[in-house]
Formats: sequence, structure tokens, C-alpha cells
Amino acid sequence: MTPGADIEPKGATRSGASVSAAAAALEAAIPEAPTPSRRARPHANKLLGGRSAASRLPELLLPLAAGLAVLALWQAELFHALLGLRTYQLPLPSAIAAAAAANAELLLRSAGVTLAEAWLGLAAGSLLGWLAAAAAVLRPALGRGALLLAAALSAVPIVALAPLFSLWLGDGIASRAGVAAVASLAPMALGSWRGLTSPSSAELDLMRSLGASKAAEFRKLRLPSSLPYTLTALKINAAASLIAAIVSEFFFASGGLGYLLSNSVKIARMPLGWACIAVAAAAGIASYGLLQLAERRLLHGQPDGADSKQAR
Amino acid sequence: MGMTRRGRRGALAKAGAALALAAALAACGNGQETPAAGGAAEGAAAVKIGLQLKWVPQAQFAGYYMALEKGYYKEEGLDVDILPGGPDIVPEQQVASGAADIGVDWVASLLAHQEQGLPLVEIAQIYQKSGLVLVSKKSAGIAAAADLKGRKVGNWMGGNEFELLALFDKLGLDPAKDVQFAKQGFTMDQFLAGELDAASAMTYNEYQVVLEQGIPESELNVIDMNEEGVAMLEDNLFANADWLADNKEAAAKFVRASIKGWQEAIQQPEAAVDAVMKAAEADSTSRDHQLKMMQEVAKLVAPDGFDPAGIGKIDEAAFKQTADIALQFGVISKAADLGAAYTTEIYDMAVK
Repeated sequence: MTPGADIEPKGATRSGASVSAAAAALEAAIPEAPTPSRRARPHANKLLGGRSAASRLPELLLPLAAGLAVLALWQAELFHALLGLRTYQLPLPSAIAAAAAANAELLLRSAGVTLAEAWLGLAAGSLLGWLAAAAAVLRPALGRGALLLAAALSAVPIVALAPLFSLWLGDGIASRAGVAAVASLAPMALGSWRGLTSPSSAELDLMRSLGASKAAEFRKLRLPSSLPYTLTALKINAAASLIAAIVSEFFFASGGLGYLLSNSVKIARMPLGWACIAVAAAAGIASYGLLQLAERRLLHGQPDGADSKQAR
Repeated sequence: MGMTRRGRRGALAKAGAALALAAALAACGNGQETPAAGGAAEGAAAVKIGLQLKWVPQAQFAGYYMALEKGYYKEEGLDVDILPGGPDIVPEQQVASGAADIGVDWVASLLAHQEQGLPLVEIAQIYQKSGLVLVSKKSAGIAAAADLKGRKVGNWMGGNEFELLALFDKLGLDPAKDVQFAKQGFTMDQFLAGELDAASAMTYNEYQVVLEQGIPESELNVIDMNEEGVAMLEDNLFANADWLADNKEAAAKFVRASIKGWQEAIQQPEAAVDAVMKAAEADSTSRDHQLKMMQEVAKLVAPDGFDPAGIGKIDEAAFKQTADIALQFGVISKAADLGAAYTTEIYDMAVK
């Protein structure tokens, strides 16, 4: 299906042949500005494996083999020899695995704390960011300021915010969630704003010429167009909020992976510290994967979703 | 590895010598009286020693500042650089990496690092008693250690928590479930604001802060680690084992000058505080607080009935007791190798 073709039925049913012709002309004029959801689909499919697992096996084998090779060389102390490190500076994978096994409960509990902070911050910050973007689109006079503020916030380093938030919100998880929220705000605000303003002027003109209200324009054109941008921002935030939570825990916390990591290193439990790094990486990948899955369901799971919404 | 580090340090020393020479030449050009040759010779003869403190400059380390101020290190032919610590500085790791030669930290922390294979060995025991207490307001109702169950207990962590972990273990309390074991800031604000039921305090520092804030001793409950039987030896001097192998003489000289500094600091607390205040960060502390700290520290370095002539001596029975407690309560997982954990050789050389 050519991009923009889905606009045609609506024009045809509502306003007759002349508009239909205009729409056809538009269609010819805007092939370079399709809504991103549809353009992204084929690439995403290739990357995400919309195909069978068997056909993806070779793609997975190489990185897996490379990862195992790195672990084997690490265990054989090659990096220690190359970099002049001792095992107390860079623990062996076997020691890290042993520490992880011996402290599984502690690691799980710590990961739970950190993920709670990160997800809470992710949700709150993303919601605020999206609201700022929506405001910027619907009421530019007000919203542009909010957007500017969000962008400015993104320039404030986490290390500067962490001590402030623990001062304001105490030593509970709220202070780390707050930092994660700030870290999530800007990517969502700017990403969603880009998405909400991604429809071309031709598409917007068409909506207006069809007498669509601003609300309808927002709901039926802007919102669907913005979805890929919003989901991308969410995925960026999945990593950003986790980093924010972990870094904040370095400063002031009594639990969580960041706290356990920094304290383990200080009390000479390097393998446990490295186990924290491994668990944090796994948590980050899991968060990202979960959102990736959600994205696939939302954008690609119902291939006709976006079209049917507009045709309804 | 030790070779590389020493090699790197050698290169640095050469660069330093070149700089010193340049400085001497410049000084000569400025018409200073000191003969350039003499200055250079003296600089080359002095052995450089970096001492990594556990914390920021304060009376806790008065003996070293006294020795520096009075020129005791210089008299021994040493050029000592006292490196302040901080919340993210682990003296054991600084000394193991070669960033410093000798460090000050608690024995429990040293044992934990030794167990991980860091090349460290204790050469002198400066504090003979633990100065750690848990302080709570009488209103919190923590009259005895057993009352800690279910309460919010603070500690600075990062190696300072071992005596408390031993206390919890002794009481059968799981620090993850039976108490809220929370990280404590480096002020007593959380305690004063009521955010902690019981806070860690050093007799010579935080406990004095609480008193200075106007809470009288009569309104406080104190749990003393020494009385609970979980006290571990604290401030000791330890050296990088690789460095020590080639620098026993210098280490002994350092210990001798430091002991002299400590003896004098205890005798002349006012002078010791003057020396400390010169190094302390401006406005970070008050002279009164440091004087109080000096008086309390003296009780740990030379407790009642302890001969000040014996300052710095490693009490082997006390060290073994600390190692036993550390093992019993999980600070270390296998018994410490006492023969490698400390050496009395340097102290004996220093006092002979």
C-alpha cells in the first residue's frame, strides 16, 4: 500500500469527487512524508524478527559466540595480563558467578528496589513529558515554555540532582524515582512533540479542509503519527531512568543495585560488585525488551490498526 | 605487576627530580640564599612517603599532623605527604594501587581487603580501643542492644558497618529483615531530625556533635561496642606489602616519628589541634570540636592504664580477637592468616 493512500477513502466518501482528486494530488505530492509508523514497519520487522526463530538463529550465533569467547579469555586472565590487572581489581567470571549465586536473594531484592525506582520515575517523567508535548501542540503559547523547560532540565546532570532530591524527598525510593522522572521527562517531551508535529502540512490541511476539529485532528492524525516517536522515547527512558536510579543510589541510599555496587567495592567485595553490574545490565535489557514487545504489539501486532482508526 | 607499578613510579620520581632541579635553578636565579646544590641533595635524600588517611583532616589523625608540624618526619629523613580521605576514598585500595604507601583504616576493613588478595600488611596499631557507639534518644526506648529489633539503625557503611553487623549477628537479627539498617550521612542531621532511631557515632566526633547540639548525655542511650563484645580494632597503619619489602627502614622511621607525634599530641592537645586546624578545610570544623575530639581520641590511643610508651604496638591477642570476631560474624569468610595480616617487625625496628 502506498503511503497516504489510506486518506483517500475518507475524502472520497465525505466530500465527493473534487476532494478525491485533491487527495489524489496530495498523495502524489507527499510520498516523501509518510507517517513514520508505516515507514518504520519493514525495517523493524527485519530487525526484530517478525519471521521464524529458525531464520534468526545464525544472526544470534555470532554475538553469542563472541560473548562466550570474551568470557573465556577473561576467565583465562588474558585481560589481566594485557592491562596489568590483578584479580582483586578485575574479578574472574567464575568468582562473579559464585558471588551472584551466594547473594542471589540480596541481588534480587536490590534489583527490585532499583527497578521500582526506575519504573516509577519512568512512568511519572514520561507522563509529564508527554503532557508537555501535547500542551505544546494544542496551546503553543503555553506549551512551548514547558517544552523549553523540559529541554533545559535534560541538561542538568544527574549527579547534581541526586543529592538535592534526597534532601527534598528523604531517603526512601521517592528521591531516586524523582531523579529518574527528571531524566525521563525531556526525551519524552521532545520525542513526542516531534511525533505530534510530524504530520505534514498537506496532511493537516486535508484534515482542516474536511472540517476536522482540533481535537479530532489531534486524536486521529497527530496521535497515531506520534506513536512510534513516543515508543522510541519510552525505550530511551527505560535505559535513562535505570541509569538515573543507579547513579542516585551511589549518593544516598540504603538499598538498590547502585548502593550495593558502590558499597561492595568499598568493602572489598569486588565479585559482588560485578554481579551487581551484571544484574543491572540484565534489568536494563529486560526493561528495554518489555517495551520493545509492547511496541511490536502496538505498532505491528495489528497491522490494520492505524488505518482502521482513520477509516472509521 | 608490582614491577610495572614501581617502574611507573620510578619514571614519576625522575620527572619529579627534573622538576625539582628546575625549581632549584629558578630559585638560584631569583637570588635565594639556599645553595641550589645543597637543596637538591637534601631533596634527593629524603624518602617520599604518602600517607592515606581514612577521613578528612581532623584530630582523629592528630599524631601525624603533629609529627609533620614538629618536623619529626623530616628529622628521620622522610618527606611525608598526608593525603586526606573522604567518603569515596578507600585507603586500602589507594595503598594497594600505589597511590599511597601507608594507609590508616580500621582493622576489620583491612582484613576484608586482605582476604580479597590486596597486598597489604599492618605495621602499627594506633587505636587500642573501638570508638564506635550506637546513640539513641532516651525517648526511642533503646535501653539495650536487644531493643534494636525492628528499629531504624544508621551507619555510614563502606567498611564502617562491620562492628554493627557483628552486633546484629550476635543478637540474631538479620540486617535485611529484623532491623532497618540505613545509610547514614556524614552529619548527625538525620539523627537530630528523628529520621534514625539509633545512629552510629564515634565517641570523638559524632557523639560530641550531638552533645554540642544541646542534647545532654542524660537524654541519650549509648550502646558501646566494647561492652557488647563486638568491638574490633580501628585505626591502624598498614603498608603496601610490595613497597614494604624494599622500604622497611623508611617504614620504621615513619612509625617512630608518628609515635612521637602521637605521644606529643596527647600531652599537648592544644598544640596538636593547632597543627590539625592548619590542614583542616576552612570552616568545615571548629577548634573547640577538634579539641574535644583530641581529648576523646587520646582515650583510644592510650586508654586508662596504657603506657604511652607503647603507643602503636600491635597487641597480638587483641588483633586475634578482632580477626576472630570478623570471621565469626562474616566480615571475612575464612580465618585470617595472622602471619601475613600484620608484622611486628617494623614496630620493633621503630622502638629499638
